Amino acid sequence: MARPSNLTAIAFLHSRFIACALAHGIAASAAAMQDVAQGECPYVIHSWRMEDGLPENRVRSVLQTRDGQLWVGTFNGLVRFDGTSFRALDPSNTPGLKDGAIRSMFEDSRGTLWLGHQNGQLTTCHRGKFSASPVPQGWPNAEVDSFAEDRAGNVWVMNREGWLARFHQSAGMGVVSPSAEWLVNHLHVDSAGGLWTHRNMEVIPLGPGGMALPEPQLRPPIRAPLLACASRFGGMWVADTGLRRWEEGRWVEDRGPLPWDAPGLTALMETSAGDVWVGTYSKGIHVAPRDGAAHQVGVTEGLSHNTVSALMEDREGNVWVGTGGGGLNMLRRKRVTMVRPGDDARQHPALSVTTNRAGGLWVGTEGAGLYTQEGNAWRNFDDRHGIQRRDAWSVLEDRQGRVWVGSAWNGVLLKSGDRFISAPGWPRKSWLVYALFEDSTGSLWAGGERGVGRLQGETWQVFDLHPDIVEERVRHIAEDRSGTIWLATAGNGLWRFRNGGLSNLGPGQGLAAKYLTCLHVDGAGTLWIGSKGDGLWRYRDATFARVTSQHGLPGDTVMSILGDRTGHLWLGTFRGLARVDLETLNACADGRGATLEVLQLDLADGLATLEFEGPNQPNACRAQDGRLWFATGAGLAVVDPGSLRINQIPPPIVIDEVLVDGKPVLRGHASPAEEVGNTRPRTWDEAQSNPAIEIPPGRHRIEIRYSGLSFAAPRRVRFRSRLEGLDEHWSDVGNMRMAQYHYLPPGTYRFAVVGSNNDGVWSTSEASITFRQLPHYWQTRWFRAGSAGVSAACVAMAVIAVNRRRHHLKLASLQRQRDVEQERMRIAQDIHDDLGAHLTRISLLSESALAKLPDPAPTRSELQRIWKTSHDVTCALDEIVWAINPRHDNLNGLLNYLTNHAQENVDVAAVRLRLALPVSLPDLVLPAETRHNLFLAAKEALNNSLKHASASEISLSLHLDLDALQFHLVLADNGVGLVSAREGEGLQNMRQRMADIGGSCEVEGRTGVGTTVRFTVPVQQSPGLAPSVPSLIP
Amino acid sequence: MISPAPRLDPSAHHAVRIAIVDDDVESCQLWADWISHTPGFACISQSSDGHEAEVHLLRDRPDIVLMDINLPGRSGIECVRDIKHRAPEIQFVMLTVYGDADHVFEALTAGASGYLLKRTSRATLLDALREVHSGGSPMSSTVARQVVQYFQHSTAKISVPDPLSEREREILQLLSFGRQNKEIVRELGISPSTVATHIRRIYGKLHVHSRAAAVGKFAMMNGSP
Repeated sequence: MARPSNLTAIAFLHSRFIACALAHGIAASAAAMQDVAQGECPYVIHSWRMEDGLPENRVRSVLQTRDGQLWVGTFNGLVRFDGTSFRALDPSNTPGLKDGAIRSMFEDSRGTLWLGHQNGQLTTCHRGKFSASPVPQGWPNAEVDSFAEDRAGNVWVMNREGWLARFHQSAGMGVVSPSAEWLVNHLHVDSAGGLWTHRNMEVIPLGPGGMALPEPQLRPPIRAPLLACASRFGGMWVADTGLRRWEEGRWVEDRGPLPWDAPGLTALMETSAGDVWVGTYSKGIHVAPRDGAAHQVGVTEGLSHNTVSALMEDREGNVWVGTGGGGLNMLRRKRVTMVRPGDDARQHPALSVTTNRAGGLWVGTEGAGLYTQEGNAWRNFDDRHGIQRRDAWSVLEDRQGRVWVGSAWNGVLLKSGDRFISAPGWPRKSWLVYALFEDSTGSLWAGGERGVGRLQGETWQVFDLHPDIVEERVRHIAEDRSGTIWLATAGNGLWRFRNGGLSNLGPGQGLAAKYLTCLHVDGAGTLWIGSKGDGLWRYRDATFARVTSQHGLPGDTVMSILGDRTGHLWLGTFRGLARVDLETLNACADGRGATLEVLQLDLADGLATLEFEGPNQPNACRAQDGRLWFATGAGLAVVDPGSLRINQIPPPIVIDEVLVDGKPVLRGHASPAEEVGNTRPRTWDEAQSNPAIEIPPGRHRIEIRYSGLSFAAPRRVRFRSRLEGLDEHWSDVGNMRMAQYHYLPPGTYRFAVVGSNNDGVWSTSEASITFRQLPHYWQTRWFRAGSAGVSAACVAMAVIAVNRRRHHLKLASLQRQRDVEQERMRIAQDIHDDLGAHLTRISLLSESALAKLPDPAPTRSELQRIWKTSHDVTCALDEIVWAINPRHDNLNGLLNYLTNHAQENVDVAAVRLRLALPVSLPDLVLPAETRHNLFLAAKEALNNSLKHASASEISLSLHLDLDALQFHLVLADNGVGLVSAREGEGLQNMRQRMADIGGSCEVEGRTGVGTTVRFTVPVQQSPGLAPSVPSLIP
Repeated sequence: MISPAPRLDPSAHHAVRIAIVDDDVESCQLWADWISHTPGFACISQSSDGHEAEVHLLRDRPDIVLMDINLPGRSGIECVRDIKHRAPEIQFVMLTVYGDADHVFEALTAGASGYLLKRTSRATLLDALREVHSGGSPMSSTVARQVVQYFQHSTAKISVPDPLSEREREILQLLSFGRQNKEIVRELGISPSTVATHIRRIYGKLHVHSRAAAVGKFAMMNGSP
C-alpha cells in the first residue's frame, strides 16, 4: 500500500493565499498543448540532490512559508533553501529543535511553522524561535503524517496510526480519536473550510468533536484507495482510478482516468492555475490540466526519480516535487519550446526559418539540408534534391508560391518539382547568398557577396554595392513604408536603395557599427538595425541612435529582430532571447534616461542554447497563429507572445547573516543559531529591540549575506544595495548575494538591499540592518597624525627582515623543486620514447593486419580488440606523459591539452565545440597532481556530454577569479540534462578528484536544457613559486 | 579536423609524392605500405634520422613529408626549419606520439603545415595528406590560440616583418573559439578555399616571423640594434 503524503492539504492551503497572484497563470495555450502531444516535455526541470546540500535524497516534505522561505524536510534533517544554497538546521545548531527527523510540515494561519517528527513529536517555530510542542497524553511514537487547520483556528494533527489530535490556541490540546484503522492517514480542508479525513475507501467529514458520523449521501462513492484535496472551484478533488471533483453531494467535474492500473497514489495537489497534479509511488507524476491534454512527467521526461513523496506549488507557480531517492525537483513551465525538424537536424544549427503558404514552415540548416512541414511530419531535401552539401543558408516562399534557397553553392536556387535548380537567369553563380526578401511590389531580392540582385518579372538585375570594396556582404534586406529598400552589410554599414541608386550610410552619418546583422521596420515605420557587438541601432528622422547592454540589453550582438502585436521587439542575441518594450527602447535611444524594460529568456526558460543564428535572412518569422520562430544553434526556438507568463511576484529579500571576520554575529530567524565562541549570536528579536550591532574597535571585515526568495531562475535574481553612512547611491551588484566591507571607519551604518525576480520585478520593500563600528580610544585625529611616521618606519624594517628570510627559504625550495622536475622530465621522456613508440607500432600493425584479412575472418574480432586496446593504452599513456612532464605545470599547459583532447573527441562525435578561453593567461603554477586530476575530471564531464547527453554543442570556458585565488573551468552542453543512470559513479569520481586537489565541482542539469559542470580550482598565492611537488621517486 | 575544403583528386594528375622520416623503422614501413597501396599516392623515400632525411628530401623534392617530431640527434623541428628554408615548396606534416602542444607549435613556427598523432587511423592519415596537398592547412583551436599568443607576445619585443592582416586575425579568433572552417565560411562570407588560403598564409607568416625573431635575438646578442 502506498504511503500517503501530508503535502496535499498544506500545498492547497498555501496556494489559496495567493490564488490571484499569478496574473497570467492560466492554462497553457492550445499551441503549447500541441507540443506536448508531440512529446516535448512542457517543463524545465531542475533537480537537487545530496551533492548539492540536501541532507538526504529521500525528501519527506516541502513547504514554502508565507515569508517566502522554502523548507525541505527529511529524516536526516531540515534544510532551508534560498534558490542557490541549502542551510541545514538540526538540534546541534538550532536551540529548540530537539529532533532532526522531519516527516511533515505545516504553516498555520498565525504564521507558526509546525514540524511533525518521525518519532511522533512536534516542534513549532514562531518568529524564528523553535520549541518542542507538548503532545496530548497517550500520543504514540508514530510518524506525524498530516496537518490541517479548520475555520476556528484549530490545528489538527494525524499520525501514522490514525490518531487524531486537535490543538487550540487557548483551549489547549486533546486527542480527538485514537484509532488504528486507517490505511490512508490524511487530512484536508475543503474550499468551504470543512475538514475531511480519508481512509482506505472513504472520505469522512470531521466535526468539532471528531469524525462526524458517516452520512452516506454526503460522502463520495469511491472506486479504489484514494487521495483527496480541496479545489478552488468548490468541493474537493478525489483521485482513485480517475480524477473527479465532488461538490455538494455529487460529482461535478471529471478530469479523466489515471493512466495506471494500480499506481499507488502518494500526493495530490491543485495548482493556482487550476491544474491537478497526482504523485505516485513508482510512476512519476500525472498532470491533468484545466485545459488541454493530460500528460505524465517521470524519469524519461527528466524527473530525478519516479517515486513522488511530496508536491507543492510555490507562490511563483513553480511546482516542487520531493522524491523518494532522487532528491528535490523544481518544475517550471517552459516559456520557449525547442523544435528540431527531423532527427538528423539535431546536430546541426538551424539557419533560416520562414512560413510556407500552407501555414507550416520552411527550415534551412547547416549540414542537414532543408526541411518543410507537411501536415504533422517534416520532409527533408538534401544533396539528392539539389541542396548541395545539405547547406541551406536562406529559404523563402514568395507570394506566388515559389520556393527560393540561398547558399554557398550555386547562388540562388529555385524549387522545381522535387528538386532545387539554379534560379533561371541568376547572373552570379559564384556568389554566397545570405539573404532573400520579397518587397511589397512582389520583387524578390537576393543579398550576397558584393551586392544584391533583384528579380522583377523574369529578369534578374544585380546592383553591386561598390566595385572597389571587397568586404561587402549583404546580410539582410528590409523595406520601409516609403518603399525604400535597406541593405545591412557585414563590414560596410547600411545601404539605401532608392530610385534605382544605392547610397551608403556609415560613420559619417552617425552609424558607428560596421558589422550589421539584421533589420526590422516596426509598426511606426522606424528602422531597427542589429549589429555584431555594437548593440541595436535605430534610424528615424535621418538620425541614428544606439541602445546597448549598458541600457540593459542582454548583449551587444543582435542576430534577429521580430515584432509582436503587443508593442514589443524580440531580439535573438548571443545571450538568449530578449523581449524589449518599444516605448522604453525609444526613450533609451532618445537618451531620455529611461530604464529599458527587458524580459530575458534563457536556458531556465527552455532554450537549448543561448546562441541565436545569423546573419542570414529570414532567420526568424512570425507564424499565422502569432507564435515567433527563431533559428538557433540547437534547432528552432518558439515562443508564443500572447500566452507568455510573466513572473509578477516581487521577491522577498532577507538578510541571512552578518559575519565579522568570518564569525557570525547575527543570523536571520530561519538560520541555524549556532553558538560561536562565548558570544551567542543575536536573534532577530534581540536585534529589533536594540537594532545596532556593535563591532569592536579595530579593523574588521564585515560580511553581510542576503538572499532574494525567487525560485523561478535564482541566477537571474538581481540586487541593489547601499551602505548608508558610506554610499550615497544604490549600486547594482548583479546576482551577488553577499556584501563585504573592509576596515570601516568608526560610525553608524545601515545596510539596505533590494532585489528583482527573474523577470525584473523589484521587491517592494528593502531588507536592512544597522550596525555601529566602535572607535579605539586612540582613533582620534591628533593621535593618528602623530603616530603615522613612527609606524611607517617600523613596518619598513619588519618587511625587510621578513623578506630576506623568505628569499632564503624560497631559494632552497626552488633548488629542491628543480631536482624533482629534472627527474620527472627524464621519466616522461623515457616513457614517451620507448613505450610510446612500441605501443604505436602495435596499434599500426593491428590496423594493417585488419585491412589484410579476408572478409569473414575468424580472428577479426580479436584483432579489432588488440587494435582498440593498444589505441586506448596509447591514449592513456599520453595523459600520463603529459601529467608527469613539468614543462606543462601551468594553466596554459592544461588548457592546451584539454582543448586538444576535447576537439579530437567532438570531431569524432560531430558535436560543435565552443571555447571561451582568455588569450593571455597569468603564469599560474598548476602542480602535476592538480593538473592531472582536473584534466581527468573534465574529461569525465566531457565524456558524459558526448556519450549520454546527445548534445549538439559543448562549450568550455575559463573564468579567472584571482582575487579569490581560484579559477573556474566550466563545461556545458545543451543535451538532455542529467539522467539518473549516469549521475552516480561518474559524478562521485569528479567530486572526489576535485576534493583531492582542494577544489570543488558543481553540476547543474536540467532536462532539455543541458548540463553545466563547474570546476572550481584554488591556485597558489604567488605565481612563480611552485608548491612542493609530489615526488615521483620513492 | 578535416575541413570541407574542395579536394583535388590526386589520381587525376600525377601521384602525390610522399616521404617519411621516422626513426622507428617498423612504423615507417607500415605507413609507407598504406601510402603506396593507395591510388594517387606514392611513397618515394623513408629516412630514419635527420641527416639522412636532408639528403633524401633535397634530392627528391617530395610534395609532402611526414616528419617525426622526436628524432634522435637532430630533431624533426630543426630538420623542418633547415629544409623549409632551402625548399619552401615542400609541405611538412609532423608526427607526434602525443599531442604535446608546445612541440607541435614549435614545429609549425619552423615551417610545418600541420600535425598528426601517430595513432591516427589509416583513413584519417590519407584524408589529411589529401587535404594538405590540395592547399588546405588544418588548424586546431589550440594552435590558433597559440598563434594569437605568439604574435601578441613577440610584437611587444620586435618589429614584425609581416604582421597578420585583420582578416587573418579574425579567422584565428574564430578558430580559437572552436569554430570549424565551414562555420567560418558562413560567418565571414568567404569561400572555403579562401579560408584555407588564409590559414596557410598564417602558417607562412608564423614561419617568417619566427625566423625574424631568431635573427632579432641574434642581433641583440651581438650588440647590434
